[in-house]
Amino acid sequence: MTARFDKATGRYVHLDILGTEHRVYFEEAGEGIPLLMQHTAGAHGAQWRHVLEDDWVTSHFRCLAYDLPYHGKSLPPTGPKWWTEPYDLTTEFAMAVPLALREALGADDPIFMGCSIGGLLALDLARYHAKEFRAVIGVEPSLRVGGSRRSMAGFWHPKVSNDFKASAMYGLMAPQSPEELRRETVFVYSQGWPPAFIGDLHFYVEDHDLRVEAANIDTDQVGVHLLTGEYDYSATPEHGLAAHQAITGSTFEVMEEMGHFPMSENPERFLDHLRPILENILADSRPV
Amino acid sequence: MSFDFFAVVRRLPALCAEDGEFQMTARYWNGALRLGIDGVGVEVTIVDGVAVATADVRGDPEAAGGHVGFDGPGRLWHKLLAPVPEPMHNDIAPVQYLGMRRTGDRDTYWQYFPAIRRVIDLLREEGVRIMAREEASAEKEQP
Repeated sequence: MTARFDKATGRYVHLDILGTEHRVYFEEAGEGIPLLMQHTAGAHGAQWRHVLEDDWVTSHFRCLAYDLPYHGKSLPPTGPKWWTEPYDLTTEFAMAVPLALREALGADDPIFMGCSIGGLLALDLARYHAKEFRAVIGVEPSLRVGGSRRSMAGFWHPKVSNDFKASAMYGLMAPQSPEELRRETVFVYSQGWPPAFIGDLHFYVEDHDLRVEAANIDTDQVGVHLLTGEYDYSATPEHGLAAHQAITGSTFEVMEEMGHFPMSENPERFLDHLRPILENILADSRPV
Repeated sequence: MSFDFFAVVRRLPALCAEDGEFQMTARYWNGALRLGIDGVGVEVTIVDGVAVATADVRGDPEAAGGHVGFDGPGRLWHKLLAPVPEPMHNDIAPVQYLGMRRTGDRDTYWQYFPAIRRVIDLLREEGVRIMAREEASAEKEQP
């Protein structure tokens, strides 16, 4: 019997991120324009598995889905005593990871696509690293989510298991999305290092704020494309619209019958929204 | 919601007894889940993760460990339990921004959120079954 393999292959790369060496796991499939893909808070790159398997996408794009340090297969660095201090994801660190990957993997002039924290990060990269990316695709983006992590203590509390945050993600998805894929998305959430999710929310609700700087994003230099799921009650369609209105030249679409995790909760429909964006980027593409 | 909300909540011991997901997520739960409309509710007693009985109640549950509840206007329950809920109305978490009040013990809410979330599914599914039966019998009665 012949084994059936997915397109994606996984590898580790050693990156210098803000002066510390990190061993970062990524999965790769396809050839063409590099497409870096960032997962949501507290999760890992498996959320992109359907995009990595898409024939059209992988025939035009070199897809690179990575696990942030402390997530998935990207274990904490050896050296720093990371267990002695709180884990809080910062904008600076989040931006440094795709920048280091781009350099290390020879992923010249790439597209960056991220969801949730990745959707916010797409906008930060467009603002502060426009020269390094040809385009960004922010999925569930926001200029400012806001809020306080004090009210979210249950996401990392000695009396509460990882089941809480995993189950809470279920309601962020659309009821129309296939049940088995919603369950898979929840499953991915249940796998994380317990403090990772609340630590990532430092970036999501507290550190990221582009309300003033968004107007300085130059879409002549870096394309900005925004997609928001109709059922996302965290980074809502109103958040996406506000970002779109603040960034002249950006594109924006509300994806009906989808929620906060479009690429994993309903990949088929997500790809229907993603392909036209990628086709436009291809049409405008400069030589790799 | 063209079904009797309280009647369906009273069916929870039977519905939960047949549901593997509830049984797994409610493990070790001792206490009660109270669901109400404008202060009038039904409380489901839970012993070792098994929904054993219901009682008609008024007001909020005690804030002791194991006890949690939700109270809101009927129109909000109606939207939450719709066969295909609208955005912001598809889960017990976002409706708390829209007027659903969480009562009882906060930690119990976090600990048993997966079970509570499943209870909402069970109420919705039972409501759909009731509406389908009523529709079918109405069609039969037509000359």
